[in-house]
Amino acid sequence: MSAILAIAFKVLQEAKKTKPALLLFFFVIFLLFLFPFTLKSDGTLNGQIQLFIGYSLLILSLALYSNSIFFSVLSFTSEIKGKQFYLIDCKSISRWQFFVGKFLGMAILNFFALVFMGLILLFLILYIKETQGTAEERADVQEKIFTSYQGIEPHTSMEKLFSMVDKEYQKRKAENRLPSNMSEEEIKSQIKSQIQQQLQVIPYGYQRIWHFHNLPSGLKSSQQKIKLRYKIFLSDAGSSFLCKVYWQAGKGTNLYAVEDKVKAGEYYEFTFPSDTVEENNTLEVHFFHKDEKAGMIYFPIEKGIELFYPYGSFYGNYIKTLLLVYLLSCFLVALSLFASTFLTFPIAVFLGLFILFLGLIAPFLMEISSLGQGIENSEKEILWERIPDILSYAILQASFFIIPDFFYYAPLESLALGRYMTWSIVGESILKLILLRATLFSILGCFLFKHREVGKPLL
Amino acid sequence: MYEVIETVNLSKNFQDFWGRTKAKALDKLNLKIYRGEIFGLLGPNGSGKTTTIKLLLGLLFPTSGKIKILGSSPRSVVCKKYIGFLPEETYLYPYQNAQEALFFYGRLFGLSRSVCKKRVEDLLEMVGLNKARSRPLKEFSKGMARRIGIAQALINDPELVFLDEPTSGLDPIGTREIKDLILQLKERGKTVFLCSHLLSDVEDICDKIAILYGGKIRCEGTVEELLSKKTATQILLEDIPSPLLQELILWLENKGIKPSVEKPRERLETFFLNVIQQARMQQAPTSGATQGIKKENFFSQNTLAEKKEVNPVLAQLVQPVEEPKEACPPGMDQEIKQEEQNTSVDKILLDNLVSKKEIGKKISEEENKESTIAKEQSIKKDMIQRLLGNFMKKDQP
Ligand SMILES: Nc1ncnc2c1ncn2[C@@H]1O[C@H](COP(=O)(O)OP(=O)(O)O)[C@@H](O)[C@H]1O
Ligand SMILES: [Mg+2]
Repeated sequence: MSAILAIAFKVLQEAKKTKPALLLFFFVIFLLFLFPFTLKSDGTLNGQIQLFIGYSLLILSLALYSNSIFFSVLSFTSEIKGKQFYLIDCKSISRWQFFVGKFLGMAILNFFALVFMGLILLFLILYIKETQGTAEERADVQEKIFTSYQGIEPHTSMEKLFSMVDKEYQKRKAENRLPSNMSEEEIKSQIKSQIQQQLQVIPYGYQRIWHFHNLPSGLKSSQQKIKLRYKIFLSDAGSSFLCKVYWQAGKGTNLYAVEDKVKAGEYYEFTFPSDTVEENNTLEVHFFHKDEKAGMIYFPIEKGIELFYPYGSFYGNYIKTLLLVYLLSCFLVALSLFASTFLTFPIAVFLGLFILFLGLIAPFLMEISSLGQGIENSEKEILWERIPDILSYAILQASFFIIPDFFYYAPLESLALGRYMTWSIVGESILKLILLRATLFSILGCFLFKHREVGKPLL
Repeated sequence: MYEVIETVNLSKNFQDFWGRTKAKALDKLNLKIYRGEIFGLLGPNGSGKTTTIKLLLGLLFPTSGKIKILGSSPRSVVCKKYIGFLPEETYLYPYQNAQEALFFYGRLFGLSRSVCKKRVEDLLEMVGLNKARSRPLKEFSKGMARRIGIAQALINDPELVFLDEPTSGLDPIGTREIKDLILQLKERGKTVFLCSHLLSDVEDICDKIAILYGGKIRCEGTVEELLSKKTATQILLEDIPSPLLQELILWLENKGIKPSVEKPRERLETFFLNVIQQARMQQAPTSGATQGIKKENFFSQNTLAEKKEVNPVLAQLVQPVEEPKEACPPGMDQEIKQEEQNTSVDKILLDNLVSKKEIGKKISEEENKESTIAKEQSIKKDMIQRLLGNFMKKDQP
């Protein structure tokens, strides 16, 4: 253990005396200080802080990620290139211990760097919040950013849905409208999605009621505010058309009504007091369609309507965000060290940065790759004709294993939007990034390194 | 005798990307090196000396053949505990200072902090870098770096030390000190594997040498065997008046012997060392390395005894080591020795315990050992009698 710690400690020593890392570090801090005065956004304090949080977190995490790659590779490969590793390898330390030592050193280094930069960032956020804008604006910021919200989707009664599906199925059967080439399951799931779509559509003159279940029990009496966020599409009107909407939250004496004009395809939200929640911790929300010119109103199934109630704190979210960034940086360290075990410095750094880059645009990659995916419903019957498809599918899957979606694992925007970050994402990160990916890369790296002739330069 | 190093038909080829052989660095090398030996591998540049050491340390893998070091493979982490290595160039971290560097290497051996600190102190003193201890290594001259390299090779009190051109970059004093250090290691029963192309180094200290050329051993044996001229005898005389010399020559010629007569020259090394010694006595200032101090108690005598459990060969290696001989290097060492006798408390205690030995009289090793045993036995007897006496008294008040 003392040997591993010695290696880890030397990484820190190295970092302290290596200028590039320090320069990067100070550059980030400089940018952080500069941001509050350059970013103006929409003019409101809220917008400014949101933008500041979003940008500075992005810069901070990118700096940490690229530093993780650059410095891990440098620290590892320079030992071998400079032959200092000869003096280490002839001591009683295994190659895997060297690897683990380097990882540990980088993890500690990243931790301190992140804590340091994180504290500065937090200080700046609080500084802007306390000193800028009017009192009203500050209250707004307090409510929108410094309160963290947990989102919840409306409850759909599955029983009801299935009975509707059954009824429709029987009806079609009676009318002999069932397609012959599909099984009952397939037909039913088709009907189910059709019904779900239909439920989202509201014709003129109708209303739609949503129920939200399982709200926290203290919410009603907490005198806080609840937010409802929604997005609509219109069947008849153009994109610039402003549609009148009427909302009503709650029931009986605790009714809260809102009227607004909204554009199609954009998110809107309104807040209302938490005492609209009922005793059994449910909430009923009504929507009325009274705009004749709008045609039919349609709420998208995905995130068409979402309720947000205060849950957790900004600081909790902040720590979780930094933790997630930290876990990603540790994953990158493992990846870079792995690459260093068999590549030279520039190539290993290139590989690391390339994977970082792909990871940042992972959703985009997944989208294009899913467009081209034809493996399930391929028309080619003969096996060998399908081999290219299968191969490309396998390669894609493998790449997505190597390249995690960085913004999925560290959703930076949640913090600026005041969204509650669950522990489950932290747990998932630890499991999938560290225990699975980083460990696998480390094991592979140790194996390669063990079988490497370090006394000979790489070809 | 057990082999500390054994290679069988060890070969190493360097290949390019396509697997074609670029260089045959070693060709069927067979070595057997025994405990307590100083083995010198001689050879011109590029003959495969460094390659041999790298193979023995597991930095390179053999193309064919077998290696056993301390009874195991060169990759065994356990055995590396007992190995020290000085590479041909001292590959140090420029940002560490002397102290930090040695501490770091000590920690890699799993030594505890306190042990590490103690050893670092001793070694810095031993290699004469006490004053430069907190200067960054990037400021060190080649010779100073070399000294750090030597110190790090000894930090674990190794049983087997590999030295690749240990004296390269060192001044004659440093060279002398290293040679003395190597002899000191031998005294303590350690094995030294030395590579060099400097013949004088090897000649002065090695027990056994092998000459390597083109990856093959061309000649092997003890220095005595290889170098003694069996057909000539040398007589060295005090300066004598020339008539007497003439007479002597005439006498020899009458006997049918034709002598060659010349004034012997002092060796440059000895001469140089004397000059520096004088300068030091005048305390001339220097920012470089100072004189290393011989640390009598730094190296353990019989550490292998604790290492029985490590592996069977190591266990077999546990055998009595010869008592330290008085190493008598020429020249300036007299003074240091004087000093060291004052400081080495253990030695004085030991001497008192063992026998009242007359200063200047050299007791042969056998005698020394016998008298130690005799003395120990008499002490034991004495103690037993006293103990028994106490019992008697208790039993019969
Ligand atoms: N990495 C390498 N690639 C190719 N050839 C090498 C390599 N290392 C050493 N050699 C060759 O092996 C031979 C022995 O080198 P070396 O052991 O360093 O010699 P020396 O006796 O001077 O220490 C030389 O001919 C050298 O060119
Ligand atoms: Mg060499």
